[in-house]
Amino acid sequence: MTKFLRALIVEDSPADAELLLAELRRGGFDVTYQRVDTGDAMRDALERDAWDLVISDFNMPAFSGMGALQILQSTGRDLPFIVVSGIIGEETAVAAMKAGAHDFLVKGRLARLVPAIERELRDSAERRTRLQLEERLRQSQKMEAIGRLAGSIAHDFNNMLTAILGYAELMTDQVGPETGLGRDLAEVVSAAQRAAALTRQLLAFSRKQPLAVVPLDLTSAVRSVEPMLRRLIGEHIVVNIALADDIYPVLADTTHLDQVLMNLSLNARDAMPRGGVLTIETRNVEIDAGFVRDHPDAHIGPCARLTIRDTGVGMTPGILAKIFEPFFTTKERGHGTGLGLAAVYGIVKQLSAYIWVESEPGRGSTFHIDFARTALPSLVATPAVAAETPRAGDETVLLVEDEDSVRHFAKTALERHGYRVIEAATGEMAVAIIEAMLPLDLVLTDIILPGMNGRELATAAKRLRPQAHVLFMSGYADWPGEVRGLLDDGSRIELIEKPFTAAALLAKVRDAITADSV
Amino acid sequence: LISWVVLALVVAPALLNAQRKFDEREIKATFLFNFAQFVEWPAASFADAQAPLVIGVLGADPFDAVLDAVVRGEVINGRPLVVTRFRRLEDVATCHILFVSASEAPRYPRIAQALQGRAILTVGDSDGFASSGGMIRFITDKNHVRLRINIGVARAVGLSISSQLLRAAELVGQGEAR
Repeated sequence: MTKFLRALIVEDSPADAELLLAELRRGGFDVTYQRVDTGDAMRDALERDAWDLVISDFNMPAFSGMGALQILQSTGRDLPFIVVSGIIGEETAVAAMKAGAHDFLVKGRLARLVPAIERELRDSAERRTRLQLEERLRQSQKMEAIGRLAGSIAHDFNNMLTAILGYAELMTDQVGPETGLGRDLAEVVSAAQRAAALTRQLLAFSRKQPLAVVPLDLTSAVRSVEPMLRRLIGEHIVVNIALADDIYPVLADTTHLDQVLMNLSLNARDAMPRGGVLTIETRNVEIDAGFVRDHPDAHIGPCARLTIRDTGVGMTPGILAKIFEPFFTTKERGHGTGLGLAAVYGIVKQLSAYIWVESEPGRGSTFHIDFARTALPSLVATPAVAAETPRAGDETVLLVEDEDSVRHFAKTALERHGYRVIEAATGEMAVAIIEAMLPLDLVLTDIILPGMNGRELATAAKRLRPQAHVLFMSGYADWPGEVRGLLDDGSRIELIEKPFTAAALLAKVRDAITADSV
Repeated sequence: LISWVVLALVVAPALLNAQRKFDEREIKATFLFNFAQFVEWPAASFADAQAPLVIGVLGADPFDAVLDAVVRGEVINGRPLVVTRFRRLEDVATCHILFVSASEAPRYPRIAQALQGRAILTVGDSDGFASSGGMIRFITDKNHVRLRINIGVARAVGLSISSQLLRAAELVGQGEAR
């Protein structure tokens, strides 16, 4: 097998360089080389081309081995540096090795040259791999830390935003939307909604979004957001949608899949400021071992693939390596949060899918997301909540939430629409109330509570009152255990994400109460 | 040092348990204000639609700050909640729910008599409360709270208690319950 070698030779004598090259070729190397004999020429060569190693003479009329070593070190490049010189003293040789030369050979005795180079190349590759691993570890630790920080801030934010949005809405109901105060309140609501959208991106990136994962098909998911996407994209871009009808069912969460589609489409739009074509595709693919060799995180087997392609500016490999990092943006300051693609990445990871990107400057970008096929049949997509869903009811709701502002708001909203609301600030308190009071139509509980958590409470409530329904509130997925769409007894989790509006809460409560008991 | 480590090992789980354990006062306080959801007072009990709903504690207060903390910021059907304390029976002023402390057990019959005709939901947690004319008694056993309700007394003063609460409770008439 031919071994390619790019050698930078620091040597004033062409004849000596030829001897080195002959020895290397005898050793089986196919050598590309450049010979330099001054510091400037060496610097130039290092800057212009990529090299596998440096072979250097020690004493030259215009240059020295020690000088060459210093130049190499000053570039920060970790290349093997092998000295091949005439007879010199042992002390000089030792000094050169101490300064960082990797080996020291004597001209005329070059038998050791090839084994030395092979050894150094091996060591160098190992050093590089180790550095890369360390860098990846550092990077993943950094992402983890940012994610945790973002997640905990987002959790508190969602509680506050629930109260801000909720009370603004309740006030609007009282003063009327067309009054002066009503219009002021609309500004409050709109700002709070923008804050909520930002929080959602943060949570998505930190993979702490509450997920309601169900079997669904990507084709229907794309169809349902298509009208909204077309509105968002604008008329200067042609939207081309190519969906497979017999697409495999996959496990995903509709809301977050929508978020992925939106973020990627907006990203594509921004890559095509002067117009172009945005293509959204779904199709079935078979991921084989060959693909996994190049994409170690991909899943082998049948997958449904979602592809979003633009004909925009494209990306250099340097940018490509960074696009999923939070707060990385190529847009001008103030024109992007740098969270969109980080959120996509977080959601895809949380859904155990695989995302990969093809892009070149000037040739557009293509994002692929591969979802493993699930054996479960996809659920028929439920239409969006009808506007005329009755909001009022007279059932009894046990409301469990430790955050006072959220609890007070939810209670006020429910009470104003006829519900009887019993409050508890902890799961333990809620269980005591369930034990002492009959009947109970709905337990509306936060997932994270001090002491007993919402999931444990739901299990206890189902045991004590099998006919009671459970609706979870959450701004943060933190199931003890993994994120799942089902409760212990196999019933589907009903979830309302914080921050929520009174209207959304009332609709969800109505749905949960009228849902078929399992 | 070793003894500290041992102590920490012994104490830490105990503290954790203490934090999560059944807190009787907090549970009774939570029940007290949630009772308002199941009881209807005669219209004359409130000055107007925004008048506060007053929770009174008669006698030695077993709640410390717990009741105030549980009730803080709560609004029921548009009425803010207020907690007041009465040292003696004669002090009992406007109030809608009255928790009668165990310290008043010897005077239960006299209290019931004095409150006759006033639409006050009386709640207690000692033996003899319901049989002496109290309306709702907490019965605590093995970390569970049950309710015993003397429905006749409540009806006599014009309070209507939701069947939802009655169905869960043990119902007694005057004289037969302890």
